[in-house]
Amino acid sequence: MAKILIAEDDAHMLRILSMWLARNGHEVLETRDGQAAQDVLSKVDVDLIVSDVNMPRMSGIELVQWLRSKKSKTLPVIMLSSRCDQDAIAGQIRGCNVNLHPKPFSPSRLMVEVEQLLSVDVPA
Amino acid sequence: MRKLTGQVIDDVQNFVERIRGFWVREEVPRWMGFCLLALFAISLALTAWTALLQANKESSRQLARVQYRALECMGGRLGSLAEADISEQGSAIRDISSHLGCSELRVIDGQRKVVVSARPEEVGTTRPTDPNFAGQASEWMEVVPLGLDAEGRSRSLFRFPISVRGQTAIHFVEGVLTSSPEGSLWTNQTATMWVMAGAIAVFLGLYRLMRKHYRGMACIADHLEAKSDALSEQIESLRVADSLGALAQTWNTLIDLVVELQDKTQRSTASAELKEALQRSSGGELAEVLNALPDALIHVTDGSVLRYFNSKAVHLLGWNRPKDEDSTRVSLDDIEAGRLGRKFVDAIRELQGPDGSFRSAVKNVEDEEHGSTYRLRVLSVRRGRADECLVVMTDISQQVRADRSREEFVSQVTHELRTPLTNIRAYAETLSSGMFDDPKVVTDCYNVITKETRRLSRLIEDILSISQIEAGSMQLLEDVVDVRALVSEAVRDVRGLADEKKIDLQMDLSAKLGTTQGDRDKLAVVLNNLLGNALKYTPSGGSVHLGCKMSETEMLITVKDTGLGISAEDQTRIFEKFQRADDPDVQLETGTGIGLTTAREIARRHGGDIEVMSEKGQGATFVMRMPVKNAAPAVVLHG
Repeated sequence: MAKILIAEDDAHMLRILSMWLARNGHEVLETRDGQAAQDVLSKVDVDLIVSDVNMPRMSGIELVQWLRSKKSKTLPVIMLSSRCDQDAIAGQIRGCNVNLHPKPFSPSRLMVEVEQLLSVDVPA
Repeated sequence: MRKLTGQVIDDVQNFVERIRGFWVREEVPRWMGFCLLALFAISLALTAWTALLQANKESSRQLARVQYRALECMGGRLGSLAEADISEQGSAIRDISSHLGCSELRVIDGQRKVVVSARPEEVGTTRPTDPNFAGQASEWMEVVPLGLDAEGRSRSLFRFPISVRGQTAIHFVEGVLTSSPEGSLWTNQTATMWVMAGAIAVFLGLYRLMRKHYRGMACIADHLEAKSDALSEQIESLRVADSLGALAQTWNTLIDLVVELQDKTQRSTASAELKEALQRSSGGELAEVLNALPDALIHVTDGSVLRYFNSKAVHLLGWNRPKDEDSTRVSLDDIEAGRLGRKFVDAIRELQGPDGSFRSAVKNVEDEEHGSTYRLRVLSVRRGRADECLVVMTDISQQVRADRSREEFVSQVTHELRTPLTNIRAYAETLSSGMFDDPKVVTDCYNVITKETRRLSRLIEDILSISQIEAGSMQLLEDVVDVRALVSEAVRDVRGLADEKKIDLQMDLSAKLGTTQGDRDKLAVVLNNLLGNALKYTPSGGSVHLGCKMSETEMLITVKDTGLGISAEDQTRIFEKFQRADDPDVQLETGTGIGLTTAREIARRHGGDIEVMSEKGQGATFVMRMPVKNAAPAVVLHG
């Protein structure tokens, strides 16, 4: 069982991600924006982050940049984006070791990827 | 330019007249000389011919006279002899005949019997009477011309009587005299022909000399004749080859002078016209016209001299235009005043080669200070003048903003479409995976899919509406709309969102709500957009209130929230296509900038309008007024 943080402003998306991850036996921490996620990460150590890109207060990009510079360089991050400028996002998070996926996505495939990332033993 | 052309044509015509006069004066002696020379040569030949003929005739006559005198002497001598003695004079007769050139010579008696003859065989024969002497015999010598013989000699038949001693009958001396010496006339004719040939040769030689002398002028005349119509423009084409002689070279020098004069005239006139144009441009009609242009114009000559600039250019480049005439000598490098002016000059310089020549190109110049963008176009003015150009500067800020808004719109629309689509896919896969069999979860999945499908549908409706608005092709249906049902349904659609955000959504419907005529779906879009915006920009814990009142003539729907509020500047902006409030808090929320545009357009197409009342941070109230058409009696609800 792993501790997974979700940062997603859309309630339906947050709920379905949470459902699938819980169904796979993980502990899920739900946040609605980057700022809330940052607050949680400051207090709690998690094993993986699933984040949206466009969120109020703090975007997923800012969150991951903060994470890599201040918190952890190895914590696996999956980022989901519904924006059309995927290349621009990829450029902004280059070097941040983030798995970027466009929306819509398949929840089952996402779960496979989550398990793969969690199975890799990375030093903290 | 017309004045210039007229003057040049006049000058050239005067010149042509002078040339023509000169030509005519030269033509007369040329042809007169030719004719006189020809006449002289012919008359000389004729005179020579006549003189020779006369001389020939005279000589023949003189010779004949001598011959006849000799014959008469011979006759007198024979007359002193007796007939018997005469007959013995055969050899003497032959000698005389031979010396005098007589082809025949004989003495015949009264019975026409030949007494003696140059031809011995004739002696003793009787001669028939010659038909030329058929009449009474004369006592003088009779001469009858016989014409020319085969060799061209003149022959004469002659007869004269002699008295022979001892005879009563008259004897006659007869013969044929060949009067001209052999070959004399022929020799004269040949000489005459030589004289004539010589005269003709002299004439031809003189003619050639004259022709050579006048060939240059003839060539000029030909050119003048052929080119006289287009003389003003083709003076250069009047040149003739220098090899044609000194006259042709002189003519070419004249052409050089005319061309030089023409150039000077043109320059002088063009300079005067330019000066006039500049005077006009500094305060005349042209200046007014060009100053009215929204674009800035600069006419650059000689690589950097500002020949002209309109008032917009002065305003844009930010330097004061000098009042005096020397203002036309301002250089590009003199523009130092404004930062923007310097930017423009740098941009122009970038489009200029090291030799000062301009190339036609377009370049954008940003004015960060005012958030403006200018398009700078360098255009060539005249062919062959690369150091001269017209610079046009157009403010394209609005176009740039529109392009940017459109790009943002596409980006936002993509995002807005993907969000419900992502949910639909995720929830559908959740259902189909079979891993979640809790009935409540299954129901929730179905509800979310339904809701997101409607959200997607409304979004597509919005996009279609804005497309129709842009194309001016929006069509409205004439439905009978139950206002209460319309409003209730709109509130029900957004209830879930309000609950999620913990926003208090209230509805206050008047008791008297009837029906009106309009496009039900489009009016539903209006209400959804107004409510959707209110919920989107109202933080959790806030409230949204929807009120609806209806009279017999007007329907009033109010959506009031306790959200972010809208600044006065943004209150007009939010109704423009693809535009959203310029507020960081608003930008945090996703949006396409088409909801309010569509809503207001639909309201206006129904004869109504939407207004906003708000202050920043104090929430906002949107009011839609719409006339009631063909209203059914209001249904009064009790309780």
